[in-house]
Amino acid sequence: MTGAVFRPLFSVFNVLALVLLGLAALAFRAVQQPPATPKAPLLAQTGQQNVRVTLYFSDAQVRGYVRQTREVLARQEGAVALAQAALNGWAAGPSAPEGAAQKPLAAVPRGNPAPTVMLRGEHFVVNLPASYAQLNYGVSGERMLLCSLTRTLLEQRGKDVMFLLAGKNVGTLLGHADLHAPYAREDCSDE
Amino acid sequence: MTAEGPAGKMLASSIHAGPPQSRLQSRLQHLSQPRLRKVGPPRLLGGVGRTLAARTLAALALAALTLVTLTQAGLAKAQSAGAQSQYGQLSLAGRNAQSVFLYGAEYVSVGTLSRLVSVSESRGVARIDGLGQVLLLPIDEDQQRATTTFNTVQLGTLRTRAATATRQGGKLLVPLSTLASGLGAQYSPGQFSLPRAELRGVSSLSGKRSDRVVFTLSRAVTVREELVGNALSLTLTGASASTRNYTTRGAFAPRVQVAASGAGARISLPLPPGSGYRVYTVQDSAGSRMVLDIGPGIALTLPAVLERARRPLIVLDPASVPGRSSDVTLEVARSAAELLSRAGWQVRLTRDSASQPSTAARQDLARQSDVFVSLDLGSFPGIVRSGVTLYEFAGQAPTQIVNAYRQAQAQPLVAQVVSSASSSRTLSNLLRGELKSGGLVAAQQPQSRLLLLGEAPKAALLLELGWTQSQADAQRLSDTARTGQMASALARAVATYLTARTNAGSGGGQS
Repeated sequence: MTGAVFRPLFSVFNVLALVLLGLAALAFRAVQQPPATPKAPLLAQTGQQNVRVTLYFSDAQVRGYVRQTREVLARQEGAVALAQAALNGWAAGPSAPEGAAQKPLAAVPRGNPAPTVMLRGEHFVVNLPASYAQLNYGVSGERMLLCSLTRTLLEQRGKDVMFLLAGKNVGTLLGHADLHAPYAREDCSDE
Repeated sequence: MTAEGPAGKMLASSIHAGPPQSRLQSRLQHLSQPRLRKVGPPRLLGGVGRTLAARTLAALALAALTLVTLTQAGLAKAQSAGAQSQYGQLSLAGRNAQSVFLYGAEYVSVGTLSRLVSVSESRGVARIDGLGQVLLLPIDEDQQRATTTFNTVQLGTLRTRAATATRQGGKLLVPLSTLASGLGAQYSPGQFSLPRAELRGVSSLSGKRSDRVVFTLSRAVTVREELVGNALSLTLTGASASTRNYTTRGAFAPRVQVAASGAGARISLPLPPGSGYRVYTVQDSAGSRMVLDIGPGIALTLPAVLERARRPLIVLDPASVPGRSSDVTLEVARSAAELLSRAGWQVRLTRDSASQPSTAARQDLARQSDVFVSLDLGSFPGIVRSGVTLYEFAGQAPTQIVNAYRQAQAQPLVAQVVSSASSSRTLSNLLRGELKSGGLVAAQQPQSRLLLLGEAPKAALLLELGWTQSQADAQRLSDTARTGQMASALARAVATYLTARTNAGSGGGQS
């Protein structure tokens, strides 16, 4: 009968194997855990800035323009952002000048959305909201709406303004003005 | 014996002695052809080399001779052409111009003639229009033949054989002798003059169904016809005449009035009811005659635009203003339309109470109209304004063709198609006057970029009856007597405008 051979339990091989097993268990546990939910970045306020723009409104007779220069908030830098900021200010209406006998008139009633603007080279494209087609203005009112917008946009730069209604080309807005061609400065001269 | 010797001798002798070129060429061609000859015992290299050299020389000589012949022919032709074409100075109706002499005949280019006559070209025939004559000259590309009487030309009503048109360097040239015959001008080489146009006499011939009046002239002139209502007027452009009345024995043209005017002699006579007329000119060696046939035996033919002008279309365009208890624009338009229709005018409204037309339909009516009036109410948030305003279209029309016609108002019949830009202001002034006589002061405002007014080719207005936010206007517009007054003013202004336009001679009129 052969006697049993005892080998040491904590041999180098066994110890190394045990360490490797432990590391594998830790790795398995780590990969089984769900990934951490990323935190939303804080809103950056750095892009907003006040810019000075010139806006045009109507006089009390809807015959002439009233020019106002004021600061409006632009969300980004660039010509398009500046033009959009000007249109936002235009849609918000005029500020009442102190001591003035007659207040300038806004071209659209308060609460109407501002048109959106695009710039292609020297040509502005203004998309008028669909609600503007329900304004029921007369011929002077329609011209004042379009021309106060045109003059506001062309005050800084650009050659002309093409108007769309709800993203589409239309022949007229309220039945009087011809929108087939873009509006230039000379189309909106003082009466 | 080889071919070399005789060939060289033949070439030399031909050049010196000068035999006919055809014979020489045929001889050389004969020599240059390969041929088989038996000449004694074969001499392989020497014989072949000499034969080849002889043939090459013969071919070269033939080429040189051909070149010389062609060059001589070209030079001769160029010298001949140069001799038969030369430029000259011409006095053309009092102005200096350049002419071209072709084989002794004097020609002038179409561009030089442009201030005297108009020349067009179609299917090989030159058509010359001017001084009331039409000349048809076939274009003969052979210059020499064109200067002879080989071609037949049409000079007004006369068909004859004469020098005809031709080309030089691609340019169309017209013979002055034929042109003078056709136009009744005086011509001698270097001198082309038109005699003074003068009305020399009037004669008449009466008939059962028509009368004929003949006007004898010193030379042909351009005749302008104008029929306004039943008044026929003929202008002999540039002709002088003494002012007097002629009485004829005819039943259809009993009186003819001739008057001198700045534009020429003006002939006036009434066109009897149910009668037509025709005018034509006759050119012969004795001078020129203008013939007028008039009477019920001749059908009255008028240009289509004049037919339409006799029944002008008035379009009233009442705008739809929502949110109001009464449709005041439609009421005023209907009242005005009724008044005008009763007086015999043709009126159309763009809408009625039940329908709302599309913008395209309104544009279509605006384009057809002789008078277009939109009726509207003003509205704007927060406005402090009241009263009546008349808007006129200002600036360039959106359609290029309308603008082009407005630039050419002096041309005949153009006023029947497109009115001048001032016609809207005339109508606006008339309407203001009519409103003022009813105690209503209206403002005038020119405005660009108006869609419907821009589409209208003739007089067009936008009549803003008042403002929706104005209490004063609301009170006035709710009063049927006041709105009726405005409708009457509108109807009177439109009728007065169209009648005045007719009387001014633009051919419109109440049917």
